[in-house]
Amino acid sequence: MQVVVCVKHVPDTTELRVDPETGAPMLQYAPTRINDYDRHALEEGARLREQHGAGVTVLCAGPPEAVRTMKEAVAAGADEAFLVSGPWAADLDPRASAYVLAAGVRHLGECDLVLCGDLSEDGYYGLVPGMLAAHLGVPYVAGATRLEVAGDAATVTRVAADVEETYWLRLPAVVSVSRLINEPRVVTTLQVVRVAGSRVKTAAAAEVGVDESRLAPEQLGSRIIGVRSAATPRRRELLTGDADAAVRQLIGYLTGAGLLT
Amino acid sequence: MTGPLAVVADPRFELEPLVGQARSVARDQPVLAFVADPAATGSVVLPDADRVVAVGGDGMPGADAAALAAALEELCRQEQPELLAFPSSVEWREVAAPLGVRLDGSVISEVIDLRRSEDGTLLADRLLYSGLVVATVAMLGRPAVITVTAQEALHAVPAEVAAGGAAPAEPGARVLLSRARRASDAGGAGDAGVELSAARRVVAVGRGLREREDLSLVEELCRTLGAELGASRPLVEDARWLPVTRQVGLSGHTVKPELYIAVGISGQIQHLVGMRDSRFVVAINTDPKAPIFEAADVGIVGDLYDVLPRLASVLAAGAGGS
Repeated sequence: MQVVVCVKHVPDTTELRVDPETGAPMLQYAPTRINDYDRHALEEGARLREQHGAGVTVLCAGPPEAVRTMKEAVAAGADEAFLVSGPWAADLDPRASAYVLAAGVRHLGECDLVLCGDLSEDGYYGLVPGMLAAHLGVPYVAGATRLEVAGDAATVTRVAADVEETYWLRLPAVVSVSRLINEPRVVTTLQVVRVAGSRVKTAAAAEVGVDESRLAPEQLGSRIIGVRSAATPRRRELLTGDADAAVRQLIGYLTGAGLLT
Repeated sequence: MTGPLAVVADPRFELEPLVGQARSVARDQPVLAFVADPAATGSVVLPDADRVVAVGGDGMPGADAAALAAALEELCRQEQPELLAFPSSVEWREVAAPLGVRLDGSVISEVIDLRRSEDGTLLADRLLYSGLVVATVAMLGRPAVITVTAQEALHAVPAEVAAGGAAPAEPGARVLLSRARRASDAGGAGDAGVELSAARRVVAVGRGLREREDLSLVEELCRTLGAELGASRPLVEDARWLPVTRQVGLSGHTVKPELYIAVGISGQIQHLVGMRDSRFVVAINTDPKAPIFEAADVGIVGDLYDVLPRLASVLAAGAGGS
């Protein structure tokens, strides 16, 4: 069985800050790493490799520095990784990602199951796996909390709001996973460093059959025309005295704001 | 050649936000409601649409997402809407995503606001980077397929489907084997009807809490204040001390209380996005550099184990409760 795990290389959103003048995200100062949701997809792939002998390839549509994420992904339990790179990777357009990933999956050849995280930390669209499935012409389930594979079919349980559903899917298929599905293993720096360079391959989009003219905003149907900080203005009064004094001051503020009536 | 604006009506979600957004950009265009649940056609939840069109299916997108997407695709080719808006949910993204590809227009999810530019282009606001910034996206394609952040209509109950039944043989198939309301894995019967999104006051607790038993400290403050108990993601998804019904944040609930008290919560952006519309925010944390203090109106740099009991007792002694 052949599994492809799609991962995204993203800025660490817990470390990202906004430029106070322009409201733009200061991407140049934030560290980058693998999208947290995709770590769970990778763990699921590693489990299929260990328990079912599945071949696992990691696929990423991203910038050249994503090679680091590719090595980390292989160390987390994959056979090899494939990075498709290009200038379009700097944009956050989900249709572009889906189109390039579909070309990547076709390029990799035989594939029974594509695993992804449900969402990316930076875009939070949740659209790429579904669009990828549409490009590949295969069924799709989102939000997976449990995945079992047997022969040419998969059984997927997922939770949407308060409701649990179980689906049967004929493979090949795309499944995007929730963070609730597993606990990703910790990968050490030493394990990453030990990954042979030959296990990570890089290619330009055109090499995998991507028509880059289709990645223009007019073709993709949308373009980001502005960003601003999402922060709401706050008073930011900080009370640092002893607990009794702080509590009394707080009550004073709350009473003054009419919040205790 | 403007065409109508269409919204997809799902009885499990409030329809008003979708219709409201469509009406705010309508230029002499009718608003159509595409209804997946035949039983909801003509019901009181659809007073604002100009015309209702039944799409078919059993009322839930999950059972037959592919057929629903195909039926909506056909409807779009007939009605030629400029906009097609879905409620934001896991199941509707499964329909909107492939539909967006097949219709080859624009597809944008988690839209928080819709408007037009001077030249009439539809513009959608949505959050990026886990809620750090608001991005404005110009939708250049047609139709503009969007999912809109919408509140769940808590009165709606999903149809249950029993396990069992034969699986089909053909490829490309997806079959629903079972559907059930999930039992909460933490919290008692009292959590069944938690409406965090509607709470007037919320006290939310995070990793600053050392032991699960210490929740009683926070619960006491909630009782004194008449507040609902909320939690950050680590307490729900990792520690599993509280159920997901109490989770506040990007992957939890959005709350808009008059008063929000964040106890032992560091204030990562994924949490802030769930409470940034609170009228007044109080933060209690031992770390003066915790990002929560930038998102608070008043912050106490202190230990919740000292502050909470004192706060509860002063409030109880005074006229604090509601």
